Amino acid sequence: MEYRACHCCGLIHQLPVLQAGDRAKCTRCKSILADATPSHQSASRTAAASVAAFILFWPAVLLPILEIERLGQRNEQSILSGILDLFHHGNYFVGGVVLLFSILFPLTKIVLLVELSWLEVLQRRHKAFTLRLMEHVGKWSMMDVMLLAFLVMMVKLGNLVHFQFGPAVIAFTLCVAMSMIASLSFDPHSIWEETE
Amino acid sequence: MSDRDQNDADFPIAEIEKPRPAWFRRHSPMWLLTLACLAIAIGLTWYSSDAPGTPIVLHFDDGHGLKPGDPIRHRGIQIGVVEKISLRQDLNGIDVTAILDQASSAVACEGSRFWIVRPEVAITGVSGLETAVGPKYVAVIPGDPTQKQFEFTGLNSMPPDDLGRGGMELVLRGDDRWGVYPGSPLTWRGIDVGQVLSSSLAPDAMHVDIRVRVDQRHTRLLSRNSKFWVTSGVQMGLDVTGFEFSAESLTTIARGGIAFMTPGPIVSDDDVQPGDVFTLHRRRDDAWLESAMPLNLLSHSPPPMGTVVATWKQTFFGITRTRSDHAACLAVPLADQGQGILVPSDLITIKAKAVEGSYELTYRANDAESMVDVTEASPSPDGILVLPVAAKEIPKQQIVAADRMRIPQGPEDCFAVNRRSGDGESDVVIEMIGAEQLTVNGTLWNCSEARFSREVWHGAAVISSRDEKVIGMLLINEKGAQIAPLSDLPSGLGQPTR
Repeated sequence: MEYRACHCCGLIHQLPVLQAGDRAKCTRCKSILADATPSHQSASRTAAASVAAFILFWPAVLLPILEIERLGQRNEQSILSGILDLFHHGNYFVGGVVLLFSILFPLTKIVLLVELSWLEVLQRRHKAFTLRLMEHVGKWSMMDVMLLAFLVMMVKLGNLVHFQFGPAVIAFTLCVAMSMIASLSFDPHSIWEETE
Repeated sequence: MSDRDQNDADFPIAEIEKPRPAWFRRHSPMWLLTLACLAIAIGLTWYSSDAPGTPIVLHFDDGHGLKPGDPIRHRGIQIGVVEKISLRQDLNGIDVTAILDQASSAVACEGSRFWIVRPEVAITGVSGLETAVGPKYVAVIPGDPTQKQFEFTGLNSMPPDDLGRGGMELVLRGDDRWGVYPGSPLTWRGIDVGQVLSSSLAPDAMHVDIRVRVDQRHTRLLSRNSKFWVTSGVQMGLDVTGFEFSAESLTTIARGGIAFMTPGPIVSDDDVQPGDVFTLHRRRDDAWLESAMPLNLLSHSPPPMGTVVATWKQTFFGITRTRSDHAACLAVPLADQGQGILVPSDLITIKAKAVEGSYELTYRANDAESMVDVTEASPSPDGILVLPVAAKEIPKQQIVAADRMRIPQGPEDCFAVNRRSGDGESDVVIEMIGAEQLTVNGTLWNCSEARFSREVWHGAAVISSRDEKVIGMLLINEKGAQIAPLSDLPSGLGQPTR
């Protein structure tokens, strides 16, 4: 018999053997403890979402995200070209921070999610390490925060300069959504299941 | 082990939920979303990657503060962008590398002239003011699109003929420049009919050559014995009768101007050729004005015009009102010795809105008035149609002779001619329409001229300025002025002539 704590209210349950399609619910708070979805099924979902996020990451970073027009001067910036501009102007610290938190960490997180969903290939220790790494990195990937920053800017600067979002914003928004879906749909239990 | 069994009893057994339909669970539908995301990513990349433009190189003597990223504009819209600016190797100018948009790559052709627009403030006008605050831009007049060219030498300032093309260029030779500048107006009895393009020293250094252009629509005013004189500045005179002050207009005081007129008699066949040299006089000779003849723009008498009036009753929210509309019309001979009238078809299509049986179409010419039967008429998309009318209804002199009509090959210089009520010569109204104002739109020609009012001009005859034959009918509707060219002559009306 297997035991599992409810992730919501903490009550420990015995987990009966589930038939295909069954779902185990907490007796106290009715949240779902486990479902009989084969682990490869949930992994497949995670993989789908994280691959989508990975695909969208590139247009989000490389395509122009902002088109600023002030007194007839037009300027198009993508996230990456903005960072490069910061480096050109000698702002190595700011540029480095933005590069780290808005490109490297989110990318690492997405790559790790793809890796984790590839369960069959990985060793158990490797998986545990990857999971832990992803949890740490995920905290520091600021993609979603950046989206918020754009919205704040839009409200604040509305009257000063004329600017509009480039095509990257769509990719960016979807990428954030996809990586969130990927990390939500990932079930850490599935890592251990088949080896048990 | 027994300890654990003991504990087992204390824990509740989790509930079991029945499976959801199998088709949903078999494979994760999330992958469809991944495919959608892939499509979106490709779409966005494709959307934002501009089609590669045409690179061109421009040589200028002076950059006037042009910067990379500044636009290239033609007719007020951006057609390209300046990519790089560099000083020439010999330090005697700058090279501007620019990318023309894909759609505008035809501008990269032989004869295209580029210049940098910068603010210019003069008493006759202010131009390029937007570049005082905003970015400079490179303007262009395209040349011959068949010959490709990718390297150009830019002009230092706007070419004088940017303000419109066409017309006839002439050279006026005078003893002095007399304060005439490029851009000064060329006038005919005070009406602007052209423009001064440039002034330069004549080859013998004894005279000044002033190039002027007469607008296409007004070239008929020119003749071999046309007289040109300078109207610049202020003429003041003090004599026993008092102080005399005369000036043409504020613009001519500031920038000078040239007036011309053609003393009679006008010989029609001595055509003035572009580039002909005329003498520029210091002041007007009153004898010219006295000998001036009425310049007959038309050598034939204009086609006789009639009027059609449509009256009908229309119901609007239950209220019935009588409405009417009118247009000019032409009486034309038909094939089988019959005759008809050529009318704008919107006068007939209005019948559809009319209350059953209330629609009437009346033809009026001079004093004659007759009802026209429209039951047979089917509106044509050409905008004009021919309605047969009983022979005795139309006075003979009202019918346009068959040889005075012709099918036009395409837009050409023409006149809109109409006759107000009455038949005196003075009641004829004429407006010139240049071929450059016309654009072909399906079977009709759109006319960019906005001065026509429906009240006066709807249905007016359009005659060619070349042979003065009727080539169409002017229609004024909510879309503006349009010319419906005769697309096929009512059979027997006359063979199309070339």
